[in-house]
Amino acid sequence: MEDRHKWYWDLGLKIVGSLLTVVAILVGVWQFNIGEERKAVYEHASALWLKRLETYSNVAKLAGSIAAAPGGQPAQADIDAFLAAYWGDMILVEDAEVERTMIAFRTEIEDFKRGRSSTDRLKQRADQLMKAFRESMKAREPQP
Amino acid sequence: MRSSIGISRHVGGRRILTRFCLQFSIVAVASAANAGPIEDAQARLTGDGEREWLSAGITSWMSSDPACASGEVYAFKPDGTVTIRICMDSTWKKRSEKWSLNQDNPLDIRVTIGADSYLLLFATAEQQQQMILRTLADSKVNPTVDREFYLSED
Repeated sequence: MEDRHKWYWDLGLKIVGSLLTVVAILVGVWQFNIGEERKAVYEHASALWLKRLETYSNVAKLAGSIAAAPGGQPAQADIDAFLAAYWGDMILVEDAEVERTMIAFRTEIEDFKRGRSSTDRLKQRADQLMKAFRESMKAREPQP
Repeated sequence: MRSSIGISRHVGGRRILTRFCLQFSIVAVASAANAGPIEDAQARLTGDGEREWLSAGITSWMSSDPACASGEVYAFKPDGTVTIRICMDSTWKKRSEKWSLNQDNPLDIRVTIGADSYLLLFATAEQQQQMILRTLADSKVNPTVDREFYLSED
């Protein structure tokens, strides 16, 4: 009678042990998958952030060249390069606020060409654009 | 003796008056220099009293006064009202709205006319003063719309 009782306990412990092992394996797999998923999201966000940084840096240089052009006359090549980025790379990476300041800077260039603006206004628009870039980079910094 | 006192009083009075005028001029120049963009825009919009701004494409028939072909006239008054005349169906339709100015940022002044809001710009084209009511595009694919007006005094 006592042996039978012991056998039941032994069987019960074996079953519970096996179940615990299966659960531990499943939890491990789940944790691994979650970790991989987070890693993939982080890597994607980092890649996008670096692409954003590169694009913003290129446009910032162009905007600076346009705003602080020698003799107060921006080079057409710089304006063309800015417009290419405006309709190209920037669309991939910009947020709503950056888009708004890009539109404002482009409109200021058009105003300047029509004699309605000045280099001082262009510089102030460039300053607004740089600040929008900085805020955008800060807000979208990937978190590990 | 009495007359010499009178002369010295007169000269003293003139000095005080001159000093007052000088100080008043300095204060006036300083306050004009400190006038903000809003005050500057308001002064350009209304002038000394009321200013009429005509849309660029305005044409008016030579016959009876209310007849017109096309166009729009905005008359801004310093009391914050604007009279808008729009040419519709060959006659001028007149309405009055309230207007106000706000500064969005150091570069942009926004004028609100009734329910509508525009960026306000001033320019000079062919020696004529120009007012531009701009609706800035909210996305790259939408257009920025400029409504150009000329000062009727010019």
